[in-house]
Amino acid sequence: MAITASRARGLPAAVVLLTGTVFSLIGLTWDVQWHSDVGPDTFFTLPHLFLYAGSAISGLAALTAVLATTAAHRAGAVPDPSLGGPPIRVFGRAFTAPLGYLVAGCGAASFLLYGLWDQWWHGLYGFDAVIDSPPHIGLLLSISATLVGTVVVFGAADEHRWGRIGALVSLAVLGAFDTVIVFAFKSLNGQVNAMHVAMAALMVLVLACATAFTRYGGVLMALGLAVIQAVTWWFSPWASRVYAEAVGLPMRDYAGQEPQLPALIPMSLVVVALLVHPLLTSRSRWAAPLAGAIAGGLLAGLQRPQSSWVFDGPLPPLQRVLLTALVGAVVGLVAAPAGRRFGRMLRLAGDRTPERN
Amino acid sequence: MRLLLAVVLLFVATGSPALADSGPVGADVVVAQTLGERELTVVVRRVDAPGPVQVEVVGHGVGGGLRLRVLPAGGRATSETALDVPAVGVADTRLSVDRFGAWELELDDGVDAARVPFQVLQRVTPAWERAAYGGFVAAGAFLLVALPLAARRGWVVWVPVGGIVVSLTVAVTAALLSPTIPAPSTVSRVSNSDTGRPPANLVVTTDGAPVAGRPTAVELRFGDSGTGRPVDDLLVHHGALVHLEIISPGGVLAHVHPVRVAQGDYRVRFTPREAGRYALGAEIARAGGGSQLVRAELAVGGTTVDSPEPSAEGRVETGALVANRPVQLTADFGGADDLQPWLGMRGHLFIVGPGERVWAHLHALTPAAAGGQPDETVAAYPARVPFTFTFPEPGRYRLWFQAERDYRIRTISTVVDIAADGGAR
Repeated sequence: MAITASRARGLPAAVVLLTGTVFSLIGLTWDVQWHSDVGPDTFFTLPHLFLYAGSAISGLAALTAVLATTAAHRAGAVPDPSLGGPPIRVFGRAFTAPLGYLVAGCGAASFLLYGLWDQWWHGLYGFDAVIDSPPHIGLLLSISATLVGTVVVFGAADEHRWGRIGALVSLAVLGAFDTVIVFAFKSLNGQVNAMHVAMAALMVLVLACATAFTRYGGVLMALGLAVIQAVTWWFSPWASRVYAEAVGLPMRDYAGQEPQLPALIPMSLVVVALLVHPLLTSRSRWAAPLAGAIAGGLLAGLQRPQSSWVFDGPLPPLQRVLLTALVGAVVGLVAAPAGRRFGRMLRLAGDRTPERN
Repeated sequence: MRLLLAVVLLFVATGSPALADSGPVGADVVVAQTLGERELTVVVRRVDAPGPVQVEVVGHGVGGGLRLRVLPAGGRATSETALDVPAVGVADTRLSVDRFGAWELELDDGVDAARVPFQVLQRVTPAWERAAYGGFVAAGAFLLVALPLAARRGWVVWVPVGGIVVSLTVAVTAALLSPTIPAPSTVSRVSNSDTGRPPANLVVTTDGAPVAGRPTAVELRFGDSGTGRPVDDLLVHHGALVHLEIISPGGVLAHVHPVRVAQGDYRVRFTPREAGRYALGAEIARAGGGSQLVRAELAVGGTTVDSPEPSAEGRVETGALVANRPVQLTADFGGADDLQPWLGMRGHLFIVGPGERVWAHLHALTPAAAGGQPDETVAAYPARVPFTFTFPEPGRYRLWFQAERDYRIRTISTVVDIAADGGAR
């Protein structure tokens, strides 16, 4: 097979898939901001439409890619794992679908199906219900599945530059998006802030994964996440205000200029990524857990000062911050090796003969 | 980006807010009922049909068993249960309803039976919402079918693919058009604007001549002043259908909530301790008619059993007591800051002035809270309850402050003399 031909072959479908997930991310940050600043909610606010459209676009891209793979197979081509990941047998048939697109497509389908549960839930408990309701978590986890599929799709094309860049971008999108899943841990908050620990675990996981995937992956991914944070920091309050004006709804009295979701993303991530980079890339057996512990502790401990700074609130007792940092370090200890393994798996996704590693 | 812009433009161009109201239907009914001589708060939780109805009854000093039944309008009871209400605190139970519409909850203590009206409303899903949700859900289902089929040879996959395209088109069209589709008319049959409904007349009767020291059943009949027909459109306002203030000749206040036994027919049982003239004030609110205070009186014979002693469950602080100047009246119930909201308020103040020309019922509000007003299980309000009032004329006024603590109603009564306005204004 000619290198030039295969170089850009998987690109269009992968880009459409990524576009869908970016739609979901835009919809999410906008929606969270809308709920906090404006509030009144119907099913079809524009942010909701972005969320639904994002999954629809991702789903269609995934389906198209699977169809194209089958068509190529029929035409006699050997399945190419760099096009969307290793082939997976479907229902035990001889015909197979690429892993990345299959996961992304199933995530999109599951998102659309969860909509029904969500509608029932809102009928029972009303609009403007809490964000961490069970159907919402289901919806958000479905999008996460699509995001994981997107990471796999780009990761499989790691022999190309677009594949490596795309994988880091989609990992950053995954990290930014899953900050909302962290909300689900709010009810566990006590002496230890479970939300901050969960956020540290998530960040260490994507950081270690990106670092293990490609050179300076962690640092680059952290930079990408910082860009997403900066853009949504400006975008979500602005979009909520403009949309509220357009539909004639008033802003809440206490609506500030603080963006809700972007404010959750750790601002220290780039620095932390640079700090633990040597450890994460070290071959020593204890380097990765140590890096995870340092990163987890720092990230969990700095979350509260960050939110106190953003929302102009008081600092909690130092003892609680330290306790949260300690638990964050323990969780990071586990998350970093796990993330590293994910990163290595990702590197193998596009290999024709994974057995050799 | 162009799609984004197009979508934004479409929304901005259509402009009108998406007001399709399809949130939860109905709300909890919280209503105070004085059944026999015990004060109860009855809570009927929001309900869907067919389904269970969660009913809670809060005791305020006297405990005892009750039989609870739910009846549809003009129908027979669908479920029945016994409930042991504690002297103070909450008891809850479940009944079940089988249809939408008007219902009544009957609370029977063996002597009197209160009938609390409540509605079981049907949630109306607008067609566009069904199309939008249904379209996206169908797209999801088709996608799930299409994905494995896409990995197989054959034309079959194009069936779910077509399904996806069609359902997405339907969903997106419905979603984009939804802001321009008017909301379905609400289920409420009465307008929430003032339709100029005539005031209600009140006729108070008792079973036999009331005698001091003997329990008296008081019947209150509310009739429409235009048609004379029983008034059955009383709203639950400030936590009750009827707030009845009974003031004894010696100045003892009973703030009770007559139970509804039938249309326009309310009953309350009380034992006068003094002989003489009792003044009655009933506060009601008719749907679309605003709130109304209806006055009546009751002559009690016999001889006074015990002379009234002012209830002193706290102290009262006042500012300068001058007519026509707003004054802050603060009731200090003492002790910890653990007052509970009663009838949705952290404090009530009744003021009856010279010759009963002034008859007022004031509230100290609970501060606004996220997620709605707290119910009376929240014991967190300050022991000092402030009110502001402007006495309209000089003279002697009776004041009764009420608040709830440990599920019991605490009353502080006092008398103030208002000086004439010195002409400063």
